[in-house]
Amino acid sequence: MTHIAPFTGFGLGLRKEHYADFLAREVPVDFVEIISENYMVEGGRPLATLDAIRARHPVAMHGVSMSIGAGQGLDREYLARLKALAERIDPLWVSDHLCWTGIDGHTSHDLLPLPYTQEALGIVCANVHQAQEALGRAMLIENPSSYCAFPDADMTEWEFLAEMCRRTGCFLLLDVNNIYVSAVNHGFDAQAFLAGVPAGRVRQMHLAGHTPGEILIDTHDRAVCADVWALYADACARFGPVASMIERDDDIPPLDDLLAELDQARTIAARQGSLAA
Amino acid sequence: MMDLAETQRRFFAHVTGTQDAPLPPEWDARMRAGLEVYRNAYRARLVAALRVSYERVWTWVGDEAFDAAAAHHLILHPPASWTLDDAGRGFDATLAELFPHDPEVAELAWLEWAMQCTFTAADSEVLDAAAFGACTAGFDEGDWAELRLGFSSSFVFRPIRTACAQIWRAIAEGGGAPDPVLLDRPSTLIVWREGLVPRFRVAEADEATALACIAGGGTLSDMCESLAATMEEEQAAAEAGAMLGRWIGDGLVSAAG
Repeated sequence: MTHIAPFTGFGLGLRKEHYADFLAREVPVDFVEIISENYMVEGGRPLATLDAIRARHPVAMHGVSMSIGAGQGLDREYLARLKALAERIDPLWVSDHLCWTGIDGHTSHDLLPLPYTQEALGIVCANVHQAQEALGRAMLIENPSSYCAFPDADMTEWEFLAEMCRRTGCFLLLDVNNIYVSAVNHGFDAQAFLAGVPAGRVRQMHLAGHTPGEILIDTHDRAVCADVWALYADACARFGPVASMIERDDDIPPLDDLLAELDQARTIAARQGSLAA
Repeated sequence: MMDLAETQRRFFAHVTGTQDAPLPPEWDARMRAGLEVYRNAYRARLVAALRVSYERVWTWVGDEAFDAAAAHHLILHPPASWTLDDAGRGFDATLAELFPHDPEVAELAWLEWAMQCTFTAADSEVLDAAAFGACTAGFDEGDWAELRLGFSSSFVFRPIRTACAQIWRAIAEGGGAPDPVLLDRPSTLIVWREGLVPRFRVAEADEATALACIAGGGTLSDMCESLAATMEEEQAAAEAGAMLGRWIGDGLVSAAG
């Protein structure tokens, strides 16, 4: 359970505003990524649409509710439903975030930050092991954006991620925008983050927009900014070809606008590839 | 030193506003500023989710009343599901308490929730007229009398006393609100999915009686008997046949029945 078949390419997050486009024409993407929870339903149009799109494109499953950092452990029913969806669509991989979402049976529906402590690391690794066992596959874990950092942390986020990968065999979904947002919010060096994660474990990268301000907010409601593109170029140079995608969740533009933005990712990755060669 | 679960419990209580216990002193000003981001996002996200689930109720009662009702509901019923779509579960009951003199608000909410649930309900194999005909081709009178039907798994119904169905359509089509809002006599609202498309309509008293009889496990004979309470026996049989035809046409009758 420590292997995921190699896959690279350029994709988009599948959003309902673009269902008709994906069903009506050949969309030039190498894969699409779904929000897993949107399809963990009994039946009806969402699953029917997903089945049709899956027949045309490889699909990555990306979750927001596993709560892999939950101090009280994972929800077994959630894992069973996630597994059922994975068996239905045979995804490239299944990912979720390094975060927690709730406690005592209640949820915030937000990606809440973890203290990067030895205790939290032990709990996260136990939860990753449990999830991978339940799903029967290795997972990708994504670095979240965060707006506060716990003062009792005894390691950096990238040290935490690296050790988590070493102990569990999981892979990484690096969200380049999240690295940027958290670096600005907490005053760390984004290059140190890139240098600190295990390059061989990075299987996917997210690109998204954020809202500027005193605290940067990861809103996914606008185009990728120049600083994040620059960081993506650095990541491409460091990690080589990695599946990359634009993640847009609000103020969704026409599909062709996102495809144009995705072309920018292709151009940067190609340029970095040629520089590396 | 707090363990992780206790740290998360404190953090969560502040984010959700369910507890005003003092924050740990080591959580400095910067930490607290970030915490406020999560706190503000919590309520905004959930109220926005309810606005999506109950778009027509929101239009009907207006921003201020809707958001206050949504906030009230979220305090009474904090989210406990892994899907944000469930945040609105039971909102019709909350609205019934908050709008005791406007029963159409809760009934409209029930309709919106039923339509949302129907949208993703389990797929059912339903019988069209040809398939139903094939299934019943060899039936004698006794078989018909003992016939038990199953409905599509998406099918739900409830009694109503307001013109909530007309309000739905008026909001969707930009028409005027029905006047009066209260119906002359109680009726029944049915919701189901035809193929991939959620549907609803109002069933009059006789059909509601028949639906309740069949949904409760009654036979076609029981259904005719229940209809005969308000009409001649012969007319009841004819009505039953007409209703059965309509249900099959609506895509309501399940092959599993």
